[in-house]
Amino acid sequence: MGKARASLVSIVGIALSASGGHLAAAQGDPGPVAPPAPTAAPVDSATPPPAPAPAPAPPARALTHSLHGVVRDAKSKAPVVGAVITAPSGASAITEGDGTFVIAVTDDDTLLVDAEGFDQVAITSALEGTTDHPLIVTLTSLATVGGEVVEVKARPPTPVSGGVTLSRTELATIPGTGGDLLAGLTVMPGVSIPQGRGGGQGIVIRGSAPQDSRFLLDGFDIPQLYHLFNRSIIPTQAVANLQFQPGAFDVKYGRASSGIIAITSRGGNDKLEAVTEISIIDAYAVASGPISKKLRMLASFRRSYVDTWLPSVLPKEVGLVAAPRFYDGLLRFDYDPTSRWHTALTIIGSDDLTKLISNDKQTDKEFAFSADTGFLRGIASGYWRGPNKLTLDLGASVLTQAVSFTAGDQFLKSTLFSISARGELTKELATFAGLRDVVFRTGVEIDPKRAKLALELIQSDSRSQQGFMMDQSPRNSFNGTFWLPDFGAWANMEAGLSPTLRFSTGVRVDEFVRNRAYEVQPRGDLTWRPTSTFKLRFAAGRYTRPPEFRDELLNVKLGPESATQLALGGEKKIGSGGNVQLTFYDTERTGLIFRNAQTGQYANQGRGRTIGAEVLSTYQNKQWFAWLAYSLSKSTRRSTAAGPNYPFDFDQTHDLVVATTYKTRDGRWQFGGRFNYSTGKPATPIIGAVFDSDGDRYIPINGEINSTRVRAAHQLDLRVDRIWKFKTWALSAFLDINNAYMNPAVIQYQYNFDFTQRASIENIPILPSIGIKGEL
Amino acid sequence: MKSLTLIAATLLMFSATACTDLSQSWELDHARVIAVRVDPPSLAPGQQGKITALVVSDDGTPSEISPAIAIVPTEDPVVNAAIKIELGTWQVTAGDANAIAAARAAAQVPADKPFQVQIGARFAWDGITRDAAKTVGLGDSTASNPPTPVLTIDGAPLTTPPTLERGKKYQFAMSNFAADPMLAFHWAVSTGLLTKSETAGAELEIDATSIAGPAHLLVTVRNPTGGVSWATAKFVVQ
Repeated sequence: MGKARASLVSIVGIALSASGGHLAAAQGDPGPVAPPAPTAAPVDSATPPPAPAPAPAPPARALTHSLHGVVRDAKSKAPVVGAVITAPSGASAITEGDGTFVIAVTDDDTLLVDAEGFDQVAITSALEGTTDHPLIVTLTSLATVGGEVVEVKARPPTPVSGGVTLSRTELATIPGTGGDLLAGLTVMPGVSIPQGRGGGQGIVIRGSAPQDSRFLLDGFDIPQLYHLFNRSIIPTQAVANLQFQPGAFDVKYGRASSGIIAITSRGGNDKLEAVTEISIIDAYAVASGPISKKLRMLASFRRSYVDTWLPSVLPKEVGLVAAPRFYDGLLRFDYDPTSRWHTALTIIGSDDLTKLISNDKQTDKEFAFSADTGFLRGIASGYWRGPNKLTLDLGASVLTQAVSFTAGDQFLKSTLFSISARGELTKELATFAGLRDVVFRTGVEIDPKRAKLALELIQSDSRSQQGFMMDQSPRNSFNGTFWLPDFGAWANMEAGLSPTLRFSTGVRVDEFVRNRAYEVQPRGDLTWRPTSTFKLRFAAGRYTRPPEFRDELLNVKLGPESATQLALGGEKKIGSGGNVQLTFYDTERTGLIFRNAQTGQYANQGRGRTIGAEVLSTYQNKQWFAWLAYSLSKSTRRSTAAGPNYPFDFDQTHDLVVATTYKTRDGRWQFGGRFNYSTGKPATPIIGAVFDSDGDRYIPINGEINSTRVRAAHQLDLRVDRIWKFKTWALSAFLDINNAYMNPAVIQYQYNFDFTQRASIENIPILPSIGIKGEL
Repeated sequence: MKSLTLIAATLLMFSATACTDLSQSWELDHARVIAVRVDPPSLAPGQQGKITALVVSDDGTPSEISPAIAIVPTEDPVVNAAIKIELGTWQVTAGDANAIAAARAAAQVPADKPFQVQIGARFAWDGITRDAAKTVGLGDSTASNPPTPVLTIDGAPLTTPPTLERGKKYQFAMSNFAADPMLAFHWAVSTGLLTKSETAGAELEIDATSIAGPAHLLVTVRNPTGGVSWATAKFVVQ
């Protein structure tokens, strides 16, 4: 959550809706944007009173009672997700996707409301808030310049079943992650980072392939997620928040058939702030502050120094020409030309380089390996909030990417250039055709790419690890330049049918020009909220992914892969600070790309299905944070419509994460632990081999596809943070031990030359991270 | 473009550890087929060739044996007319010129190229069975197996089993073969640490873990026409 900075604390306004009423009825047209009240005052007064609701009897005032409230952005009235409300007793609550919260208070408590990107606000519990008459707390953005309140966020996406928004602080302090952004994602139910063959770049969500999900930064794809050692390319301190949407997501997102992970980069502050962090693997610095009244900046830079110690641990026969090194940088400018406009320019870049030469003891020949990858992406975005609740969200991006990979006589060299743009228009109405709190949205996006590609690689079946890949396997060769244009358009309507029932319906159309494919994808959901502490949501939709993964690109006749997703989720707030989400989902996949047994070419002939259930339970107060995530799922594939089902490569029956952190009362120490158990991933056994005398090699005989599994993984991660606060700056240090009891996870099996012996390739058994962070 | 970022899996080598005690192909530590030979490897119409295999036992002892079963794994009558395998003698006989010509035509093989047929053979020894595949060329008798290698140790002929001392390295080579990119060499030993096992000359280190007593060495030589030859030898670790 955002840091509480006393100098920035201003109580902007607290208002208890004059006539009470439901959350959905409080979003009237505020009229033109007005400067904020300089002192505590009800700023929600511009909101027209909602239709009178039956006045409930005031709750009985006890010594301790539950305070129901909703936190909103002062100007947009949009709910603020993830705000922390803290009582003097230590009790705390976090706002949900709709901005609501419930907290146990005693009379005349002073509660602090703290949210990322907003001024901290103090409220008094003397104000009443009940289920039917929630206390409305409005927060003013930190981006207040020139006496005007500026809008800093577009309308937040509709919360999806099982979806979560994680703040920077949460991502940075999860035990076992070393403070890394992507590693932090693995606390989510059913989420893992793939390793080994078939993995590559990406995140496995709900038993899907990594290429089925998208990873976005400020609305645009990130072409590379990790450096070496699975370090994400964006330092956590340069992130405002991360929205995890495991499925059944909004029409504004396309080209993904599984989930969406959307990162919002962090805008510059209105006072100077600098953070630097040093760990075993890398070091980075993040600085932000104002340049002028209307212009703010944030800059981050990271450089690894693995290259300083790796040569000493590698075998002698491996000669490092260039030891692995990576760096990345992010630069963001925020500019607010008027009170209605907020603009930002984000530039992100990353580069990884490794070169080594290994001498094969048996052939007495050198084997050269090199990998040099880098990209630079610039994103210009603008958000306009016009009169009459009309908003426009615009973005344009330029991407240049270069990849060079050589391993022996195999190689891949490519360059990519893309200019893409997206825009979304939103109109909100208090009532429309008998419906209430209606939101219309429509948008388009274009993403034309020009790629130059030369490759000579063993053919891969990117969807499966079915069997052993021989060096003599068929190869792909390509040398050419091509266009890869993708276009998308969408429209959506969201409205309340009653005070407790709300729906959303929309359609998205994608065109994948290279493959001459149009995809119409209807999506919708229905949310029932009988009380402010409980809601049920059912969502359904169609989702597609273009055939642009690895060597799929070489076959223009391929069509997109499709998925029909159904999700039913419930969410219940329990007591003060407790929350439980339970989600059931069912995803049917068609047109999956498999290599045809007869032709050897890719074809959209496969089917797949994933069913599962997820539980996510959290509890948080001032000192304790507890997290329990469990996923039970079954993900199957079949290579043809009539073929037999088998477990998919990324099927994970059980995935359990239990995490907790405790912060001492003085805030100087924080202790955390995380336990993770997950079913081993499927593997195809090799049940024999035939000796090929001509080639002096063994041809493996595969057993049933994915009919066995690697050993289940379980590990305990521990973390200790210590903070020293000085007059003008703060110093913190952490020790993060990944896999404390040294139980390395099996990534995959490795066989000997004649397939009579098998061994495990395992993760590093223990990985301690030590970090030091200085903050101005 | 996700397709352009496939290198992460390869870079796994830096973030994972692999068990390295799997047996290597130069280690004669379990029973297996080392090579299968048809002599000659390519047969003119009506010509016969004999199938033989070099196998090793669990203790690394090499021996030459005939198949227990050998088949042409196809039901294509055209192919089956072009080749016959005689049980018992394990002779492969090429069909007549017409049958081979018909097989060439069906497989669209040029008339001046041999028609390649893969034979499947099962070998049984020491109570175990292993399967192997071997290709025979039909309609062409120009291919031949390489000559039998003549082994040397540290430049001297390897005739009687030499005694090798711990802590020393020994050079094995063949007096009738030198490095040749057209030939594939494969050395294997039952004890010691062997390097350069896929070159014309291998280096054997007798280290502290080497087992004292008699041991075995073998080498195979393969040429591009499907020919293969081998030589075996004994040595004693002191």
